Amino acid sequence: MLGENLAFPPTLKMKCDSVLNDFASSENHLSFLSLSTADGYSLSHSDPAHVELNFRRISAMASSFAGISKELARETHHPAMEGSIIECQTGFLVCRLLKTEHLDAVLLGVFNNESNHGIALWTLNNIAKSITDMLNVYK
Amino acid sequence: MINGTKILFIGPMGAGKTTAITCISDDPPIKTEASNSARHISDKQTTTVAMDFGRIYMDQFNAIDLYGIPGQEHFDFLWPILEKGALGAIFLLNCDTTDQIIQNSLEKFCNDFSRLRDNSAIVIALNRANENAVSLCHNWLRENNIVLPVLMADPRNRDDIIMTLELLIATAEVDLLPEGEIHDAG
Ligand SMILES: Nc1nc2c(ncn2[C@@H]2O[C@H](COP(=O)(O)OP(=O)(O)OP(=O)(O)O)[C@@H](O)[C@H]2O)c(=O)[nH]1
Ligand SMILES: [Mg+2]
Repeated sequence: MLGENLAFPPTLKMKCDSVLNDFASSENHLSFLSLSTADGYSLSHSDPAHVELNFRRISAMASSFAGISKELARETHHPAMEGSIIECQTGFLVCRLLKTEHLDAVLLGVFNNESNHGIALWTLNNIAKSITDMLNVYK
Repeated sequence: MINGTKILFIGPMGAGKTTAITCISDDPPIKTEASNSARHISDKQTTTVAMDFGRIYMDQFNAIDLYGIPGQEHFDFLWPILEKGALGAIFLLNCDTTDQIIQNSLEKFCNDFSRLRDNSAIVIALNRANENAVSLCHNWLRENNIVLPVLMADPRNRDDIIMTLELLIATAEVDLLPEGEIHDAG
């Protein structure tokens, strides 16, 4: 399911789940990943260890955050927003807009404090590229 | 420093909240539109994902601040945040749908904005509506013991939305007065 509405091919969801889980389990500094449509429906996520999370709410919040960031960037004459960062004492969250042929999506990566800006951005860019390639072949 | 009175635009996806704010705002509105992946719910290109913001200047010192909510239910975490400090709300409703969907929307938004509902600080503005939809809405309100004004307004029409706004401000401000003052003021 594409969120609660359109048909998102189950095989594609499985592929996305598997890519997100592979990255999340191989990168120690990465707590979890969430992929949603730009309008806030959850598409896929990695399974976070030890915590119960509501991905419906997280997906909606990630898309709201991306929407506000994009508008703030536009207002300050930076029209092509690609992503945004939230810094916390315990780590940080990075949001990335994915523009694919059939779908606009938001990828959220949540990093713990073993990470730093450079590694987090580099890691999320790689994940974004894998997911974008996969979504581009989706019809 | 401008003193702003906060007015909210509420209602489900595709009701016309962004359209109405864009239509009456003096400044170019702030919008947070993203591609709409739920075209079967409302067949339009984009949908609001965080909020709309517009402003009407009354004079040098006073303005009406217009806030639009994102209408889809998964964004309901934002509704109480946006509702804080609002004098009232214009509840837009697209009636070109089934009676059941209209009734569900009335119930959802009257419940989720119960502070405004209980202060009689909501005006219901129906669009793409006929007399049947207006009666349906009146009947639903009567059955639920809710007293709110209902009118027809096209969100694309500036005069319609300004009139709705004036009605809301008149209704909400009268209600804010302590009892007894209504007669003195009248
Ligand atoms: N024909 C017709 N179209 C209308 C009327 N009112 C609104 N519309 C159209 O309905 C659509 C409403 O879209 P929006 O303004 O984005 O709706 P919204 O309430 O902001 O929706 P979300 O942000 O998705 O919650 C626009 O395309 C309007 O032109 C009306 O009275 N008649
Ligand atoms: Mg809108």
